[in-house]
Amino acid sequence: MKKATFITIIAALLLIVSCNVDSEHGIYYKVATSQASSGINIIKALGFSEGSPDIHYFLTDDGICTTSNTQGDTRYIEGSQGKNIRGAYLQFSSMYYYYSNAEGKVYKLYATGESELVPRYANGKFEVSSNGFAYNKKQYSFIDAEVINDATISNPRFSGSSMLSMEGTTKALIYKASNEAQTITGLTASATGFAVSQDEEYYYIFNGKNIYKVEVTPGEETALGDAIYSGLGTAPTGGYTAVEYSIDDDDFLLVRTASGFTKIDVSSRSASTVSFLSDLNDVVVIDMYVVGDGKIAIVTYENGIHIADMVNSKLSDDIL
Amino acid sequence: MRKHLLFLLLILLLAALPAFSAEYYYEKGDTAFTFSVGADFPFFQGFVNNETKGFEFGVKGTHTYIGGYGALSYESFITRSLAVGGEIGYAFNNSYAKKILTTIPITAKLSWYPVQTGKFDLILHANAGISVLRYDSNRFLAPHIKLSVNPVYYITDSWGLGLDAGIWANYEHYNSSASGSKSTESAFGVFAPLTLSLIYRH
Repeated sequence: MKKATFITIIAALLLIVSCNVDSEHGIYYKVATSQASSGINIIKALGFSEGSPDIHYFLTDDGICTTSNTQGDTRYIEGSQGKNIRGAYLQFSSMYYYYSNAEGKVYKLYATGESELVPRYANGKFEVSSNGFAYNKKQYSFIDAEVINDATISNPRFSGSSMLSMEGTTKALIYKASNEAQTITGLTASATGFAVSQDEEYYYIFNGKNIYKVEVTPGEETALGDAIYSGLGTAPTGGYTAVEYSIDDDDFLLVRTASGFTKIDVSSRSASTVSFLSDLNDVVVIDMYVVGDGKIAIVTYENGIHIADMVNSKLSDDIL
Repeated sequence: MRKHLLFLLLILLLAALPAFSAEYYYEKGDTAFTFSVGADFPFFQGFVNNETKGFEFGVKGTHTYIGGYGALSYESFITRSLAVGGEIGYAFNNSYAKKILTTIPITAKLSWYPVQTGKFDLILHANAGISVLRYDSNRFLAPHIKLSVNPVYYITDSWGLGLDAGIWANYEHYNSSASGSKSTESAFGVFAPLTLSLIYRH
């Protein structure tokens, strides 16, 4: 009886001890890197207005918001026409957006706060800009494929002014405004991530845990070729988020994995963990974009926006 | 700061000296039940194998808010000034992410009663054992130690009220060979509970 009790206690203790062996992180580590909620849930990062890298725009359930570099300083720049904006796109200093219950209508927002309906062409196509935002009901959208209800858009992934859409499981179509779609072949499954280089001459396509780099050639068909890196950590829910940045003419790719941030040296094809970003290991990252030399905005779902200085290995305080 | 602390300790020691020579109140075999409840202050987290995290103090450093602490203990006197027994506790602290970190320490307890007048006791406790950590669906069994000082005033012969101030520590260890890079996440979690204690002695 005593032996059975002893074995039961030991088994229970071993069970408790073994519970955290397979977890991604230690308990105190997770606590130490936990982040306070900003109180604002960001649906989409919209970037910054040209010439004002300290002011970031983002879309929430309540509308389009902006923040200055002063922590917590947030204001809505939209409000008179309701707060049910489903999609938005910031191009240079112009903001375009549309409502969920007004399919096919796109508005342009002026700095004064007034909005204007953007006219469309007779064929039902919007072309707001030649290199930024485009809408074609039958083919593609760079804001939100879901609202357009276009069956040809499958598993869309957005990066800058480009969108990747899967066609089956081994082929992808990449759309860039006013250009013919570029066909990518050789995928083994749906793309797990998508990014555009800073000069917009290359696409980074994530397939499984591999990263491929292909040249932007609209209208052409491109095979994936060799991976520039294989063996990324597990992808977060929704896939990898990635951004290319440069330091002293060397290109790097900052990739968000399920357990943290990985830096890929594009030239040497080597990877390293970005430990100074570990405070953001446990938050949901919506998007990342370059805001200056070696500086990257990391936009999270509910933990604000942070600036990562990749040169000095510093993470700013929450700027939202 | 250190000078002030040393001075305070010296004053306390001098004040307590007369009581050390006082008659013992307790007999071998006496027992005491204690129920404590109060606040749990995050003190620091120490990442021993991590170059970037190191030691981080307070709410801001640990990303943990002030929480609560409660404990039940039973002790029996083995001499006229030493008692041994056991204690089970429960501590909870919210993290910045508004997830609760819970700690359930199960410990052996040694108490020294250097001051015992019948109406007033000054008790020093030392606990050692294990604690079950739980956070965000993860659990861990960690070694646990606790030290505290507990002045108690007895309202009746049996019932007393006290203030218990202490410090407790867990160590969450990951072996480098078994857990890979997680060894850099081996850490001390150190908290400082401040509780009111209700004591029944018999």
